[in-house]
Amino acid sequence: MAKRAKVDTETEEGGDLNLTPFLDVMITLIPFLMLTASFFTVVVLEAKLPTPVQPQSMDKVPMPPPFDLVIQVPKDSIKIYVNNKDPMGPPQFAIKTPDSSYTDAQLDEYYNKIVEIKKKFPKEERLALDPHPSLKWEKVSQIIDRSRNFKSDDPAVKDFPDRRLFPAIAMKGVYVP
Amino acid sequence: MSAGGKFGRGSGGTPKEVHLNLTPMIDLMTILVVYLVMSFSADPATLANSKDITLSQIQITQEKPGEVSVVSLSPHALLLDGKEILPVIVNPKDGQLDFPDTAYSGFELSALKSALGKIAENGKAVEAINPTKKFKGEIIIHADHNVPFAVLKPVMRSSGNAGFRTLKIAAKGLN
Repeated sequence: MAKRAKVDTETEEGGDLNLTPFLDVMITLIPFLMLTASFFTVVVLEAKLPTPVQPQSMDKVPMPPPFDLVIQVPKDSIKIYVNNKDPMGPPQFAIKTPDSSYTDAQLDEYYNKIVEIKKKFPKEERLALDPHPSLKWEKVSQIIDRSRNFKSDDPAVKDFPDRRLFPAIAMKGVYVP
Repeated sequence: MSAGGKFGRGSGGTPKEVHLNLTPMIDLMTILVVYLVMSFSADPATLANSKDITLSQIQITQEKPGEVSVVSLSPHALLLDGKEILPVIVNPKDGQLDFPDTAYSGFELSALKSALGKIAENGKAVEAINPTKKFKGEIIIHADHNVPFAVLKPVMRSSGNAGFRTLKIAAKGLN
């Protein structure tokens, strides 16, 4: 009984919760998490490296291909070749970028052309991209981004509910034997 | 730190007990810690927070990165899963970024190809034991937005020759 009485007295006198360790942990944890947190979304764009056709399977490959969309990006323009019979000939569409820096308006112009092509060939999904070696990686990424999917606010989305433009992108000029 | 104590004296010189109310601060800290822990995710955070690499900004795509190996290319070094594989130099001929001549074996980077080859072998071995864990040959390319495409070509070629033919290009989503 005497012991119990002592405990009660201690509880009444020492009623404050010691918050020091809790606050210490919080103050350490918050700067660490703030430094390591990312405040933007990291996303990924998919592109494939071309797979060579084995010589024994060459006869199964339809020539000329039923659909051939090539995006060539030299320093001063974005050239779009659709089923072009002459690979050295002029492109069907070209967006001029004279100072080799791309504005959003030029990229949107490219996107609109790609949407036009998709409407003509709704079942096709393949595209070959051939960027100039000096092209900055950001521009390559932006061209891939605008080639893969419809914008969510594009009115054409009602005809293409899966929002797929040409997601099967192959990188030209990266020869992998 | 204490939640309360004797901090002052009354007008008559009597000690006055002043309590600091820590409850709102603790509430705030708890909410902040929960939010930060929820948004903390190892792989995307590693991609986002590399100090030498500024990611490209894109508008439409929203696909999230998966758990695959990451090849990072900054203006100073080429890294595989955070480990430096090769230095990046400025080519004295044209002033462009490049790899040292000794790094090349033909048109590919031998050190990167052999390191990726080991990862591919492991992936295929895991697939042989557990067919549900397929080796997809996917790799994340995490490169600075200012790097020219020419520097990435040998990286892509080496990846392709090591069995990684699907490139996942990391970027900063605006939406």
